[in-house]
Amino acid sequence: MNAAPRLWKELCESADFVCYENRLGAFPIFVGYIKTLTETDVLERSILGCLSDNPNASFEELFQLIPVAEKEICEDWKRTQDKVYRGYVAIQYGQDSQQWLLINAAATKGRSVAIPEVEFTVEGPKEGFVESLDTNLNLIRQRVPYPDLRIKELTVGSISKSRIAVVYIKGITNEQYLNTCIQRIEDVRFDQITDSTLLQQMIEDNSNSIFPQTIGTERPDYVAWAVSSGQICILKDGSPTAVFVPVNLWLFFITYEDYYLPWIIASVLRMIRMCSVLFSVYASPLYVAVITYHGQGISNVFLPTIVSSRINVPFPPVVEVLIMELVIELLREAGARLPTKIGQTIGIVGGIVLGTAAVEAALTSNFLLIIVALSALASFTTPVFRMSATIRVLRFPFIFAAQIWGLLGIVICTLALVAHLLRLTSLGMPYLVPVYPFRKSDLYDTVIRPPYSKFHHRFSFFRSPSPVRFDRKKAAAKKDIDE
Amino acid sequence: MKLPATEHPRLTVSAFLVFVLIHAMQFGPEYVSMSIKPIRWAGQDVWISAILSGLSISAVIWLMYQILDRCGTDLIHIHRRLFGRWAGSGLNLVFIVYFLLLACFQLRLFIEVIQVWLFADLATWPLALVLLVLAYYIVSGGFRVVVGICMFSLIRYVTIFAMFFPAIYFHFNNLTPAFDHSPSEILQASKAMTFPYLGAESLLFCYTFIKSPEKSQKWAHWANALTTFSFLLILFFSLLLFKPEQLSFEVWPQLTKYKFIQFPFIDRFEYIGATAQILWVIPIICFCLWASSRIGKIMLGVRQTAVLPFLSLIVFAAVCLIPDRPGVERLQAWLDGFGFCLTYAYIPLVYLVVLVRVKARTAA
Repeated sequence: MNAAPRLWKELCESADFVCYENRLGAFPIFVGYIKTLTETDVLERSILGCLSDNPNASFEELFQLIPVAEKEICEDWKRTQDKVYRGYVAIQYGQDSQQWLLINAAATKGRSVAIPEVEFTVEGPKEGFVESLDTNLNLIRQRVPYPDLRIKELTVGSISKSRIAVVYIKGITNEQYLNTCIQRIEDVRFDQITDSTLLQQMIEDNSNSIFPQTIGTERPDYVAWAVSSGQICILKDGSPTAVFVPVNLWLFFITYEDYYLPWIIASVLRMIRMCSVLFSVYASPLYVAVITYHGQGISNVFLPTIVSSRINVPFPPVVEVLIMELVIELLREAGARLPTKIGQTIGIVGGIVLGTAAVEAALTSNFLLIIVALSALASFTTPVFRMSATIRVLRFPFIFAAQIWGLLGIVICTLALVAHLLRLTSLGMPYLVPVYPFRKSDLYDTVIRPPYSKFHHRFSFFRSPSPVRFDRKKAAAKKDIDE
Repeated sequence: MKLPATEHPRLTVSAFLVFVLIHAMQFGPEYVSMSIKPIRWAGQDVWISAILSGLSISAVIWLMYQILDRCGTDLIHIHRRLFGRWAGSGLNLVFIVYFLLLACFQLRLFIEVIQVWLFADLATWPLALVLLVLAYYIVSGGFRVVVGICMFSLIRYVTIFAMFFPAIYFHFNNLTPAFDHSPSEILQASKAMTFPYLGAESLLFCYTFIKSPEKSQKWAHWANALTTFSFLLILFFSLLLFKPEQLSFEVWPQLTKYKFIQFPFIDRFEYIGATAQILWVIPIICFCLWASSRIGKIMLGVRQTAVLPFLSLIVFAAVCLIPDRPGVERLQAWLDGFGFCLTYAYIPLVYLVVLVRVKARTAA
């Protein structure tokens, strides 16, 4: 079948397709576009205006005349069709021509750059990514005006045809990681990729793990930092989350604000965050273990407080803990699904009214209420949302293990967790590096955030071809007293 | 007769991790009872015996490196090379049995500790099953994960250092008079300490998994030094807290010692001490299962994943068949004897055979 009629016929099946016929010249000129995708301004002023001003221009002349930079001559009707669905205007000379002039008139509607809401920081820049890929790339380019910053574009998804941009700095990013990453993206077999979080799950090393092996961020400054440390950043058109790989466990407990605060303060905050993770996972399982099995283990000073608080509670500790954990999860889930203002109300009603009432009705001990509320709070200090969700889920197996074998159950669970973390990799990089495999020179930015003079080398586990950030000797010239 | 180390660099561990591995393998859960017999022999002079044992193990480590560096491969291949296909396989089989029995012993000892100190009515099989499933999960991650667990298990030192809290109960008079025992008594005490010191032989089976193995020797010696230091610490705690007569009534003096520790919140530290025993046990069980399944893999030419469940099942059945304390003690006595022969007779013998073969080659 002839290509031209087929192209127009298939396009005409969409209601928003417009086919405009210009008969001013020697032969008919067909202009086809999808009106919901094109910018009327560009279309009318640059394309249609140019057409009616030069009715007798030939195809090639017209190609030169149209004052739009993104244009091409295409002889493949499939590609033409794809481009029309991306907001291009197709121009055909004559009834049966096999050549189309494609001009970009895509309407870019979307949010304007706004404050990042999930990763808000008090200090530092307030720009967050938006849905438009070009805007996002612009935000990154502004921060990295470096000639070796490379952007590789891929298309993924048989229906969504999503544009994926892989951003890296040539000469700083390890080629092997880059190839693995691109290979994984190319291997994605899925039709509709609506967000980069889907992509995240599809390119991870172990998709059955509850631990995320990629980090999503909405901060362009964080991406600029990650790219210059040798990581690879993946952006998807239509998604405000940039993903970077490879990552290790410790990166999940770093907020980018750590780098904007003085190093001692940042380190203290970071340590508090890491302790709060441990507290969040272990507090309620320990409560179950101690109350169920090891009551004698608690000192006499402390025991009366606990006993008196749960003297009227009719449930065994594990049921009590499970009820309270579920109530907290329920509150969080309800708060997340409702509009902000109602969500806040629910939080207050649920938190204060339910909590007080539950203690007064002797359904739970107020000691446990404190533990559960604190561990929920502690889990929210983790800056990466997927990790904080992981930590909230993680405590349930621990609670069950504590109910079965007390302290021993918790320790067995911990060992299983450690074994799992030891087995995990991110793009083939061990998840627990630099602790295991142990890399002494890379320990500097894990638990503490040292002063910037210590950042003279990039992390060796990113295997950067240029591992040196700056010359340490020049930077640290030591002075004696009174010099 | 040099063979290239065949392991892919992705599977190897850095040389200094030999320190972690050897130390974790040496410092097993039998330390809970290790001070009774040597102190019975050498009393307050037991520290001399501990140092002697440590030095002799260092000599054995030197011998092992001589063998391994000369042959450039692990003992499994050396066996075949030196003794032929059948005799070599027979020797390898002996080592499979040794590792499996060692795993059984560690597992059964741990379960016994839990049954005595935490849950009196806990049956043996559920805990054995859970721990073996855990060990299976770790071992199926490969050698690197096994060593990772060894490294993680080093947080056990928290409980050892907690022993400094009851310092007010220490009786330093117990340490005098020094040098009060005859050399034969001190040697007897050293011999009684062989079993806790065992573990360096693990090196014979994972040599090819070490990145630049020639550089790892100093780390093996350091590991042995740390083990000696830890054992000295434990022996001193025993001497300082117990009279020798009291000690002979104890089964696991180290766990009893935990009873001396008190914190404002925690009254019974021995619960934590008994639970923490798992950190001594799991690395050894994992390494034993890894080593025996690897020997099986090389001997039979099958996949390690096929051998591993089978061996885990054997360990499970064997652990369930050890009924009580005498059973554990018989097993310990057997392993003690085997380990003694292995370290002080078999390894020197292999060294001599390797030397003779090298000499014969150069002569011919």
